[in-house]
Amino acid sequence: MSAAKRLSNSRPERQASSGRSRPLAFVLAVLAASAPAAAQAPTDSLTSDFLRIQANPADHEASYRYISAAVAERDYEAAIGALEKLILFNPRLTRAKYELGVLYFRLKSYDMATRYFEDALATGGLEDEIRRRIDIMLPAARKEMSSSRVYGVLQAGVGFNSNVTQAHGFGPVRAFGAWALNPNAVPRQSAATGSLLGDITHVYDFQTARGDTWETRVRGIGALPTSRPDYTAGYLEVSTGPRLAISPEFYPGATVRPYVIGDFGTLGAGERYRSGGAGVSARLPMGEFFRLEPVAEWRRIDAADTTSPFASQFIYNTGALWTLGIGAQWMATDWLTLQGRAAFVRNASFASWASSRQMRLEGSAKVDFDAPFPNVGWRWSVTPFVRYAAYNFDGADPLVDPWMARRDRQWRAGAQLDMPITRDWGLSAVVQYTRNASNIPNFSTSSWSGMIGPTYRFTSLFDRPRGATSAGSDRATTADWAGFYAGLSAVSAFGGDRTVRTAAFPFYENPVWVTDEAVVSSLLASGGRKVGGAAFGAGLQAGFNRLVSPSMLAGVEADIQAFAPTRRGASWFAAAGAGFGNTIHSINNVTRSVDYLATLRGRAGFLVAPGLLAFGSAGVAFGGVRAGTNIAQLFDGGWFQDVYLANGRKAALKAGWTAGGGVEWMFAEGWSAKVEHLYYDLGRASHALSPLVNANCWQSVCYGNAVRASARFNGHVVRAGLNYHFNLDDPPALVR
Amino acid sequence: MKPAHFFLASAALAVAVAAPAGAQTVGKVSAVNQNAKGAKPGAAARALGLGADVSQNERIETDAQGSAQLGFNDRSTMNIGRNSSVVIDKFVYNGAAGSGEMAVGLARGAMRFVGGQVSHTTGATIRTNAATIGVRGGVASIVQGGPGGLHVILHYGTVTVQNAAGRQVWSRPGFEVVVAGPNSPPGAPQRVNQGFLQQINARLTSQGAQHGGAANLPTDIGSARFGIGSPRPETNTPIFDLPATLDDAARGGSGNANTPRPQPPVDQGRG
Repeated sequence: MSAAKRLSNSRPERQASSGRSRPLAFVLAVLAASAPAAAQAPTDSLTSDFLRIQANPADHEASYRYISAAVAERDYEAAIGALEKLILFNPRLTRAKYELGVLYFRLKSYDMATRYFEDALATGGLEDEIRRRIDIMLPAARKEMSSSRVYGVLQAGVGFNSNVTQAHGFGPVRAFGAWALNPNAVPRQSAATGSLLGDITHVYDFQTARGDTWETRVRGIGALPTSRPDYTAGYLEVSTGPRLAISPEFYPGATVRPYVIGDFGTLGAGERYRSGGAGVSARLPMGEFFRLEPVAEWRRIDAADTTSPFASQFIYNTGALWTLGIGAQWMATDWLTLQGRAAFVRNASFASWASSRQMRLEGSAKVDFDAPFPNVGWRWSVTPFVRYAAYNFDGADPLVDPWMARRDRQWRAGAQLDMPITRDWGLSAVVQYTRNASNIPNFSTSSWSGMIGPTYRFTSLFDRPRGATSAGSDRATTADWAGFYAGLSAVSAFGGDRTVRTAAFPFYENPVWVTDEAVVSSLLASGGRKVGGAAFGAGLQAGFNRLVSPSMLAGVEADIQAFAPTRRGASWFAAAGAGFGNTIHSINNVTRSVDYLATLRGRAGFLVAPGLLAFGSAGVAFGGVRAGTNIAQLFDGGWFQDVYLANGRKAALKAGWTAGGGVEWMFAEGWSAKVEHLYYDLGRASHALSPLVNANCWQSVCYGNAVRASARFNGHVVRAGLNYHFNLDDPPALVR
Repeated sequence: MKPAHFFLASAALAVAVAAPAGAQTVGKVSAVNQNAKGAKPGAAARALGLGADVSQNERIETDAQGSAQLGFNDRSTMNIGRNSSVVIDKFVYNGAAGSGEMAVGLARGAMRFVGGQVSHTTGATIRTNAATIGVRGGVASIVQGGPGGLHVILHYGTVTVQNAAGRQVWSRPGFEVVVAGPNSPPGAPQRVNQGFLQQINARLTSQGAQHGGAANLPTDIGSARFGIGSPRPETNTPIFDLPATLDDAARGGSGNANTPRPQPPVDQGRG
């Protein structure tokens, strides 16, 4: 729906009685939704007016009625034929031209829509309200013909939330399987909030008859509760991928969209979670007014805090996040659009009490109605929505209730009122209620929230039509490789030196104690472990090729990929006597990961066949790397124990080199698939830990060690990717 | 169009069409600018009048000033541009079944076909010198003798262009296929030039003081009374609900403090 702006055709002049009361009629609409699609009564007038027109083509009243009824029943072709006849009779009819523009727009014939809107403007003598509508529609139609288009809305708002802390409050909670009162509970607190919202989609249209596009969507939310700035929430999501026609000949309109997606959320000053992954969705029209959108998606989610065993329990925890879903959209009438979605979500995390299954059902009904002010060119809409989600955790959390696995049932309901006013600016308001009922009362919450604020809509942005690039022949030729290309890849990273090494050096030993406790402690803290496991991720690449001979190719390529490692830590245990029957135990924990890798490489290739390229490449690499170390030692004196800790971490952007090679196959005009290997080396990074100090020797320090850790960041990357080649050697002809 | 309408339409048409004998009437002349002539099979050409019957095998020709719109019994329409020649090869419409057959020859000139029941079920065929055009559903404009030869412009539906040298099928509106001649393969579909489309629209409608044969003219005021020109654009509104992942991750935000999870053990005093 994001890319396809749809237009409605309410006809208040004809149906004045129902036109004004439509906002109130949405309940009826929802009820009507359960009725079959064929509920629209056939109008005898359409038939009798058709016969009347055939008998007397200049019976204009019959023609008007016929057009009106045909549009209401969405038989746009019948209406177009009759409207074009009216214009043959009177070429100065501006309303008929505007109506033709709207109908062709609805049939996605944006070129004809543009022609009729421009024709109406050129005719002159337009009513103000027709001019206002054309002022919205003409840029929208031109935009649909351009290669690069932006859709979306930005909104700023002020609002209210009855429970910004999403807190259960001070009621009794479960702890270790028993009832407890939690004096440290966060109180429920209401607050005025300020918000910024954005949902923007960029569509790059390859201008082919297949209609393939590349869609990139960015969604973001920021919400600042004035009285609890520590509950400021932020969210940003980016997804990108091509939308490809499945079979324009046999299933026109059906598309499939593989994509990569990444997002992160913040709460207060800190990062709440981030995730990245890939998915594939499809858009399957079933008739003209109904469509299905199945989706399958995998993400790796990193939730803050949850890698520690002492974390609290969020719904989603660090691990894999699988989603299988299906959406449906039904344009039931010209003023009612029903949407529904069902999804199954699996979060597989580090422990059964942190892993969950979720069933989610959502529905909304968008009711369009004419703005009560005639000088508003747009229709307004009210959209009630409801959502139900059931979360079932795999196992019981022993620290909360060892006998009961958490089960949440969550309801959300609300409504949004959208009131566009000028072509680009408007006002929007939303109110919603959320209630989470859990079998464990700790997690039961509810809240009311509402928001209102101005909206900016990208109606007229990028409305310059661009000419088509002429398509070439069916078969790939060597020349097809030349020029710019871009695409995405699935990536696996493995191998390399994955060992994180620690080294401890005694810097203090209390002279009162004659044994070498410091040395024993340092030996136990020193060592290293390999952090095993491959990492998986997704990336984007773009480059430029030049043919240096008919079969040799030279170019440059830049790429970036993000990884989610299957394992990011390793630990080991050691213990040794420290004299006087005392023992020191040491638990050493190291982490290491490469979160993302970007390279800039030169590439040289040989065309084994016109469609098959073998290439090698080398260049510079940049990586976001992380390493961390935690050491916990227990000094066991038999009748007393001391625990002392040291930790440190480092996150850095490292630069190094990379080289590799692969093969790329142009399997269709403009499209190629590749498999590629790269070795990279970003060098070493080391970090210092906080001092490892046992400070409990009769109110003085016993001993202390300085600890450093270091890790090497190198390894192999294998990528399977898909590229699109922009044929810029066919210069686009400007068409206006 | 709903099948139910066709049942009613066909029942009514069966009555309306049953009476006249002779050449089978397939539609009417619903607008005409002179000079436009119609030649029924075996009869001499005569000037087309508004509301005149159109028969199978009738040839319709327009001169440099003439244009016409034909309205067929299945509610499809055909605008015939200036300097054009069209033959209704075949039109069979079974209203009860909602199906039929439609074949038209375009010897020269320009036309726009706006589909009705026949093109939605079995499709309509338009024969030209350079290629045969199949229209499924749809709206298409066809021009002989444009730059590069025959232009087939798709506005809605699916169009097939085929000749001895090749075939193209496409369904993206606003894309056209150009065919140089009967022995040249149809070119790849490409976006139609807006200026060219403007010329075609002008050729298919009235110009100057022409009024399509109507004595009194339709008006904007009349159109407005029936809601023509009233649709206002509608927005595409995203619901700014929190995306599911954040919503779920943000929940339990207080669970952090609410859920009693013990802190790591703190150091005990020695001795």
